[in-house]
Amino acid sequence: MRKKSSGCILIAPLVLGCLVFYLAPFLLVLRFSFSAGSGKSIRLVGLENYQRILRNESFMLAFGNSLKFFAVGLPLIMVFAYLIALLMQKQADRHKLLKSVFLFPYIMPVAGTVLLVDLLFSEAGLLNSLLGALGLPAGDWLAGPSAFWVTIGLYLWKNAGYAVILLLAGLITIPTEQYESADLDGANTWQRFFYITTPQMWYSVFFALVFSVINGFKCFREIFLIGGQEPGDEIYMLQHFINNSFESMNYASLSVSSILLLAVILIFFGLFYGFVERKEAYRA
Amino acid sequence: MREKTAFRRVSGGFAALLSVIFLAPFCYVLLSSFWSQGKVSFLPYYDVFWGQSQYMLRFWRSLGISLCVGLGQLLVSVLAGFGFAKCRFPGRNAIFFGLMILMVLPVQVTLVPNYIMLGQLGLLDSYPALILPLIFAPLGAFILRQSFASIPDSIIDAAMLDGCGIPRILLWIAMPMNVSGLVCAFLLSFLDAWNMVEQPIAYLRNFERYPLSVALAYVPPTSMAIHLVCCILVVLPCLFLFAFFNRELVEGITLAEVK
Repeated sequence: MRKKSSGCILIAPLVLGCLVFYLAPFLLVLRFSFSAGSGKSIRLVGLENYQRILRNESFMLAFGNSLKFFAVGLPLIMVFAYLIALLMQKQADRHKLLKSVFLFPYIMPVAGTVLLVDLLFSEAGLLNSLLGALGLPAGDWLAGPSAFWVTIGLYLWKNAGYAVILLLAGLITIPTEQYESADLDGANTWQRFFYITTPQMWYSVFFALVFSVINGFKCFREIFLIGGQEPGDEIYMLQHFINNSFESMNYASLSVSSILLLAVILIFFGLFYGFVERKEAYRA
Repeated sequence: MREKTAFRRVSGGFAALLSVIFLAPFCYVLLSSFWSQGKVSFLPYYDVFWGQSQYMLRFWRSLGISLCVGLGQLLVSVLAGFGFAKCRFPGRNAIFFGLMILMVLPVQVTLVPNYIMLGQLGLLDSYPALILPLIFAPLGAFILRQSFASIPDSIIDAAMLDGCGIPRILLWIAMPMNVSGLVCAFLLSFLDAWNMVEQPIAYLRNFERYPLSVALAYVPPTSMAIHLVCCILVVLPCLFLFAFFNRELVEGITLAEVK
């Protein structure tokens, strides 16, 4: 009926573009990561680059900080978004407006949010003047450990709305009859949550998680701009490392960090996807 | 029953509080932008929009780049999205799965490969270097595949029986039935291009050619008043698009979650 050839023609532009701009270069990068030198003197050195970068302090700092950012930020954004979505579940009449409001920070451009953070948290910022008015000591919130929490706050503020919309889309597909009959059987709120809502939400949760990770990586550019080229140790992220390696044109370490990051992301999603698939199998 | 109204009040108050948290920062920036040297002033606005040409020049350039990305991405994604949703061909699921993996990869992973490839193609230090890789980002195809899938097969089969080819089906049936998917794909890629930071820093040598987003954040204007107005200038296109299309955007994001 619908011919094979037309399908192939339709996807051809995208697939070709991805081959040229993403897949082929990845193979090049993979080769770079195993070799040293450049131009004609290029030679294979096996895992030497990997060993060197794993001993590189600034890479490990950037990698560790990025992991920490996700380890703290992801659970927070999921809990936060889930709570909002659950609250909104029963108020369909308010959905339209609220969803738009929640998505509003997401469309704020980077330059705007960076300036905003500066206005609120810099030494002469709003927070410090409020603290000063209350007679409390002011601090430099963008230096030291508090900078990390400022970036987490920024991440939550900007991206929670996106996750709320995805979770809500899952919540409203759960038939209300199920809650009503559970009520008749005397189930309490917790039981309804654990035995009706949760088992039907794994797919949506996975989806929201995937997009929260994507958005989290986008947040690195804000952190990069807040911190400048030489930020404090607390918010030295992969973005900074990659940018600094770019300035010194260090192909080997750039390639290796790309490959390592790719591996971590694939393993993380692979594990979680497997988990969700197992949970979903019970539903069918 | 009374318990329910109480719940509605409490959660209504909570929703209002959340709305304030989500909206207040922007209002703060907007108000601050009219406030300079202790009084209400429109002088900074005049400076940015008419007085100094550098900001508007960057603004139009950024807008051009982002529109190219958005429209290019839309064209590529419509074709691919429809192909994946409604045509059968060998390797369809495998290719789609591969694209989804590509979709979750952050710029930090693809920046270096892209850079190397653009160097090989001789495109470095030009605007196509910023535009082309983003056009072929798979997110739009993913969103459109999911939203095209919700169009019933029977409608398309009926059109085929009546002698409609794929181009006409796309133009007259599938696309009009899927406006929110189209708007969503366009908006998300437009925003991505509008916000690009890493690519210009890595690919462009000359600061003069940086788009507005990076230029502002990288070398902020020395005057705070000008900076605030520039910030409003950056927000304007997003605000404009959001005001018109927020419902389609929300709907498109929701539709993307179809299994």
